[in-house]
Amino acid sequence: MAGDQTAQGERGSVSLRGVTKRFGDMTAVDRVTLHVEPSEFISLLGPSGCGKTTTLRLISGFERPSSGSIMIGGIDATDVPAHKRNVNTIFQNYALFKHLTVAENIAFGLKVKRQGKTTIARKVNAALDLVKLPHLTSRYPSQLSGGQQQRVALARAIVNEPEVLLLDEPLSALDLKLRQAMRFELSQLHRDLGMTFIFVTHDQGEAITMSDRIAVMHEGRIQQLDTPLAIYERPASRFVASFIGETNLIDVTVTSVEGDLIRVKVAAGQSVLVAPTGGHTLTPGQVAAVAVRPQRVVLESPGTHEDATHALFPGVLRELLFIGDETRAVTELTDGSELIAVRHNQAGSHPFGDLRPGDHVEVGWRHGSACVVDE
Amino acid sequence: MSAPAAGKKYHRRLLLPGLSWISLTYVIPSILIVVYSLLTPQLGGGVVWDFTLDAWAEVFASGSRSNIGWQTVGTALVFGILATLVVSIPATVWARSVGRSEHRALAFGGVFGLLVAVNHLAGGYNNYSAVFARSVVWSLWATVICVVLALPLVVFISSRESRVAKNALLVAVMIPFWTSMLVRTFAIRFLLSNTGPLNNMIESLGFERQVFLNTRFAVVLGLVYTALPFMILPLYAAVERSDRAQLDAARDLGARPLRVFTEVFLPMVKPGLIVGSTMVFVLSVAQYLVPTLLGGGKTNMIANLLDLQFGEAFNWPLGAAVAALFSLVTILSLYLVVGRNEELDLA
Repeated sequence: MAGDQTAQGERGSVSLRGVTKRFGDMTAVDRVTLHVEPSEFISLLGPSGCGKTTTLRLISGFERPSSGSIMIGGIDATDVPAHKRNVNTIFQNYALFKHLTVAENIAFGLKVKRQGKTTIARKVNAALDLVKLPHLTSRYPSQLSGGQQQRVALARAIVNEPEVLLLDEPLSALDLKLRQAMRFELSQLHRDLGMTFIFVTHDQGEAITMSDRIAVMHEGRIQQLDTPLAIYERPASRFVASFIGETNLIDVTVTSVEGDLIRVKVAAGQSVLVAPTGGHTLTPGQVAAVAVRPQRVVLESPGTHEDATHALFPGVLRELLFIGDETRAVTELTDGSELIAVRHNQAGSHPFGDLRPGDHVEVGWRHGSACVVDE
Repeated sequence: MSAPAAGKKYHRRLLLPGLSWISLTYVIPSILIVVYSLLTPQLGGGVVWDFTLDAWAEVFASGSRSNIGWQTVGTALVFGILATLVVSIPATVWARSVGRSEHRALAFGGVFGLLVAVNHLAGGYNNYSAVFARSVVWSLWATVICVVLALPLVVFISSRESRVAKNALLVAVMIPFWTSMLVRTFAIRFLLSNTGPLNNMIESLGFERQVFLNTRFAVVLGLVYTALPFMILPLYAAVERSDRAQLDAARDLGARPLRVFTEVFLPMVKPGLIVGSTMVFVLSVAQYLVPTLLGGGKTNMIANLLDLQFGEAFNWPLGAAVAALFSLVTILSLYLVVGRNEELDLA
């Protein structure tokens, strides 16, 4: 078993180095390099077809990479077949064995490893406790609810004590309420087990609430790999900015780079200073975009702010939309582009003061609260 | 999923066409056959309405057993035990690995061994139990061979990515049906004959010509050839409906390919295997043309025996008794394989 040879201190780490997977003419995973620390909870986030599930299947061993290498627990696993890898998977539709009972499903991996009957029984019960499943051991999967099936799938994987647990959109088949409860339980399970979790999802909410780090994938590549906060605050690309949360994206041209600030020219008019992004370099003359969260958009009557800390543009307030605990303001700049501002509603006061649709306004952002993203 | 009371009545009426057809073509003739088997034969065909058990006595007690020496009994025993082991061991291993009752697997092997022993004992004697045993044993061989041939083929077809390729291959499976069964069986007869292509090839390779025609090899080959599509089609449907993710799950949990196959793949396609095996067995055990043309036209399977009794021998009651016993054997084996399989989902 690969686990026995695991280098000390590397147990649970996963490294992909320049991994590419092609299916015919289609490149599903394109030169992905990723290092997952032991006990880390990492999410592969992206829309369908971005290569996240293929990446997971490369780690589990169901697919062989076209090029590149995969290390699991510090050992080269590129050519190790799936059944010899010390990783286990939670499948999207659970893939429970329909002809076996709950207990037989959970015991499958242990039986394959020729463990004794009493050991198996003890471990199966412990796993059922861990996933908080009542001991419905002699039921068949078809007699269980979706949530219960999910827990059986979890128990069937973790009972083998893998180095790494791979989760392929495990919550997508559950209803909303259960999905949110399971987020919390998965995080707790991750803390209790100390296993590495690699979690594939298209749901940014799941990725943000549970992960230590998120790898945002698009067209087979990792667009950004960072903590949820960093990805939310400093998206590295237009795609990441628009995929995570709601964002205003304003087309700009870079005019100059001044230390850690970048001066950009907005189509609506003057040059403005904006905080740069985390990693990549921008050069003057380059076309880019400024990303501003609607919560950070400054929206005031003309002349309120006259200092250099803000980038403000003249515009017209077009709409005020009340949506429960928030109000959205849609403004139009002089070049016709839209900028959306969102404020929390508070009892007794209007979140946007006296502003009404049709008013002339100044709209923009404080320099530090926006960032420039690549095309 | 219970339909409302009014709907139930309506549903019951839907049974009417099928039920009347079955009554007319199956239930009434079956009763007639049982009645005929209890009558006295009339010379030149037909029956005399005198009730007697003569026909049944002949079915169970014909043949001259005095010729059977100890040696025959010994070899019959050895063959019987060997056949039992050959079927029981894999069946039991499988039953144990999937957590199913081993008794049925053992019983299945036992019945097979018994049949093989009877077949051997009665081998040279043209009595009726020998014909029964032979028909059942040969049909079982045909079923097993069909499973072994169909499984890889079906997995191959099902794993094709384009729908066009899948359909083309399925049509290829069906193509033999476009030619008359009689013509196809004569073609095999020609292929296997002493001066046919198969023997020419064997000779050109430097071996001696073999006798294939009129052997059990030729008959089983014919049975397999005729029934194979009936194994392939239901098995294909089962493989198509199967959940591939479960195969991945088994591999993920550390199962080697052979284990994935026996413990996950086979149970998953079990409905298709059962339907296919039932079709192949039922079709084979009642074969007339194949044993006639490839087995040399001797009385070697049940259908030939029936033909003989209703035809040349003009012993209608005996033929009726054979037919009744035949139905009974078929219904019993169907019940054993299909009837008690409550999780069998044929949809």
